[in-house]
This record gives sequence, C-alpha cells and structure tokens, in this order.
Amino acid sequence: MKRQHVSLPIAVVAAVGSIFIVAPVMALLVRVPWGHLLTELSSQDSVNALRISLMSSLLATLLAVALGVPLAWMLARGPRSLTQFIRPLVTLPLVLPPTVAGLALLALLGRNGVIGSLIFQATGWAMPFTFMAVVAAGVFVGMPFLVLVVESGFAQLPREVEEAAETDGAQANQIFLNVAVPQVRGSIVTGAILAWARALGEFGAALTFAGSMPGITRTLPMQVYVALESNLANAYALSVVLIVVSVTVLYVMRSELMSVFRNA
Amino acid sequence: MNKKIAAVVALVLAITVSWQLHQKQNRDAANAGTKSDSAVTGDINVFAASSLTETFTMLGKEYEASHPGVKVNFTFGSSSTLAQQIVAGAPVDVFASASKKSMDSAGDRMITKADFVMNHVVVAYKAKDQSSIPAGTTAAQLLNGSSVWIQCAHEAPCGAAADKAITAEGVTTQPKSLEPDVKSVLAKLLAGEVDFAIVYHTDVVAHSELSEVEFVDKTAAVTDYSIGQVQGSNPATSDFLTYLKSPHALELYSKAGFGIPGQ
Repeated sequence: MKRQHVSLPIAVVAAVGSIFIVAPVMALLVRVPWGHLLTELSSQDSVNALRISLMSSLLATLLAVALGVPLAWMLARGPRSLTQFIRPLVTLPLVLPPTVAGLALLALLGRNGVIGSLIFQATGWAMPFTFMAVVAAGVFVGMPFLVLVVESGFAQLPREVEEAAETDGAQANQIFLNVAVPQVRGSIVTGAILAWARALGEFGAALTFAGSMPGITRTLPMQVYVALESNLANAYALSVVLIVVSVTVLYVMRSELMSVFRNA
Repeated sequence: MNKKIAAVVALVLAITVSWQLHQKQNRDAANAGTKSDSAVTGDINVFAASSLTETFTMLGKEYEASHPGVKVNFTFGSSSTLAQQIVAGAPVDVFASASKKSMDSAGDRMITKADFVMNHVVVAYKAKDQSSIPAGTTAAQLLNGSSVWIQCAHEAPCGAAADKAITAEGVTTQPKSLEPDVKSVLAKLLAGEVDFAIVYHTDVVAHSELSEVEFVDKTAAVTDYSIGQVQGSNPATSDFLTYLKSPHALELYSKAGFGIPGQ
C-alpha cells in the first residue's frame, strides 16, 4: 500500500474546496420540479430552445473541426517565429469575456461592421439576429478548445513517420490528411466534444451578436435567463438539461481530459 | 514555494481583514446615525430600473454631497430581474421598478410601495439613418414595412408596454429579437444593427442622435413606475426616499422625459 501523504488539515481544505463547487449544483437540483420535469421540458419555449441550442452547437462544432484541425497542424508544424504570435491570438476567446466576444463579432460582421457592411450593401443580408449568428458565436468561443487539444495531439506524433512518408514521395497535403490526422483522431474527438460543450453553454456572445428570439436565436441558456423572471420551475428544469450534458461530457472524457492537461 | 504560499495566505488575510474593518466602519456610522437621530448615515443600496440610470445617478451624487457620511449605491437592471433578486434576499434598501407588476413580484420584502413616475414606449430610430421619414408617419407604418426592429422581452416592463402598444397599433410584423432589458435594445439601435427599436421616451430624450414616433394609443404604451422601501433597510432610507420625491427631483424626472402623476 502506497503512503497517501494526505494530512488532516489538507483533507479539510480539500473538502471545503470541493463542497464550494459541488454544493451549489446540488442545491439547484433540490429545487428542480422533478414531478413535472417532462411537462416543463416539453413546453413550446423549451422545445424551441433545445432545438436551437442542439443544432447551433453541433453546426458550430463541425465548423470548428473543419477550420480548427488545419490551424492546429499549422501551430504544431509551422515556423515557431510565426506560431508563437498566432497561438495566443487564436486562443484569446478562452479568456475573453463573452459579451466582448459578441461585440467583436458585431464589429466585424454586424450590419455596420467592417465586413458585414460590405455584405449588407451588396446583398441586403446581415448576420445579426439570424441562426447563423448563433453558430458563429459558438465557433468563436468553442474552436480554441479544439485547437489546443488537437495541437497537443499533433505535437506528440513522432516525426519519423512523416519523414518516411515524405521519402516515399508523399506531398505535404497527403502527409497531413493521410498520415497525421488519422493518428490524432482521439484528440479531434476530445477537442470537438469540448468545443461543443462550450458552444452549448454560450450566453453572452450569442445574446450580444444574435439577439434572443424564440424559435430563431433563443438558446437554452437564454431561455433559462428569461424563465428566471417568469417561470422559475422552467428555469430549473432547463438547467438540469445543461448540467446533465456537462457532467456526462466530463465523465465520459475524464481520462482524455487528464492527458490533455498533462501534456498542455 | 513555501514563501509563495505564505504570501498568498497573507494577501487573502489582509483583504479579508480590511473588508471586515470597512464593513464595521459602515455599521458604526449607521449606528451613530440611529443614536443621534438627526444625522443620516451609512450605505443606502438602491435597485432601480435601468431607465432611471441617468437621473438616479445624478440625484444620488447630490444627496451624498449634501449628506456627508451617506453612500448611495445603485444597481440598475431589468425590473423583473431585480425583483427576483430581492425575493432571493439581496441586501437592498430601495427598489424603484418600471412597472407595478415587477414591484408586486418583489413580494413580502417590500414594506412600502408607492406610485412614482410614468414613462411610455416609442418607436425610436437614428435620425441620420432614417432622414426620409415624412411627418405624420405612424408607428404601424414604420414597423409593418420590411424594416428590422427589436423590443424588450415580454417579461420586462418595457416589453410588456411594447406588447400592448403594438397590439393597439395593429403592428403585424415580428421583432428580430426580444432583448433582456431596454439598455440592450438601445445598444443595438445605437450600433446601427436595427432600423427601429421600441424603447422608452426617456431614452430618446437622453440620446440626441435618436428621434421617435409616438404610438397613436398613448395610454397603451404607458408604464407606471413604483418605488418602495425593502424590509430591514437602513434607517436613513426614508429620508432618501423623500429626497427622491422632492420638487427638485420631480423637476429632473420631468426634464428627462418622465411623466409625473397628477401633472
């Protein structure tokens, strides 16, 4: 039996620390209207919000994978003089307050935005208040998680395999698609799930950039916020959905997450 | 390593102790106030509808200047959100709500409730973007076109007033978004992301770049504000409430575009 090296004072502090995180969530579960949970979740507003949230976060995850995997490869194999400047910039949304993220998206893609104004003048279409705006907010806040995880996966690949492929005449594109990507499938799945969970929980960026319209842009977190003022039982019921999803993700991914943070 | 931990612990302790001392000073100040009974002291925490931001901030500063020892702290937000926080036990002395409904939802913690000012919602637009609107155009004509417009969520007082007003007006189009509070609606209008927004008349008065079209049925667009004292409030609260209803304060509300009952 290994010695545990856990003294009583450390155990007490650790207990306080874990209670601080776990107790509020437990308290919330106590208030959930379990008896009519399904009724609350099947109301028109709930179903709409569930649908918007699921579809937008899944679409955001697909886009994050499509754009993020090549970006991660670039960060892992590109010239260090370049990557050391790009990496902090593309991972900025990890620490950026979501409302600021929403403002930034408006500044670029809004009707009066740097690019958005050109699109609006040419086509009369603007992204704010559309479903695509919710998706864009999800990509913006979720993709950095995928990029970090997948880059860490690429960085651990032995270069010999790539060099052998190159000797056999493989092009850079082939090495990326046929040699590197298949070896980091696990990292891509982990990164995609983290990005999806982040996009699913997004509130501030989506509200600022996409607004809150039932059936179009109002996501689960926005519905929880609205329900706080009109129907608390509904807010608690919808919170359960978000908590169950988050706990499941963390539980299923527990060993992958550990290795990501160990190697980061 | 141990030095670093010690430094962090020392910092946490220092912050805790100085906060406790600060709290004690405030309590001492408040107690001194009750004993002498003449001086009004301590912290007065005010929850108020976000449409009152400009006028209340100004009145709070004036009150602090004429009452040394008093500190007025404001939290502005959607009245319905603030009411929920009061129910949940937020440490508040005064609540000023943009509707009687939100005041009622603050529940038993309100020990007094009184009618306050009035406001009404209008269709607002940025004057430079919509310079071609002919005089006499109605709100319904503006909103029923292909324009992009937004309003507050149905739960917020500005949204409830907007719902009544557009129904009375015969507006058939849908807003693009139901924003959580009027400041959020205003922000998107000022950013130029929408053509029109249903906001308070006072918002248009406060922003020179905005113009407005009134709803034809003005009574449908009106919301009645309510103000009251919260259970367990600072003894200084009632004096501050009197100040908020003084002729000087009424003049400020009136200048900001609020309606005064009985005038």
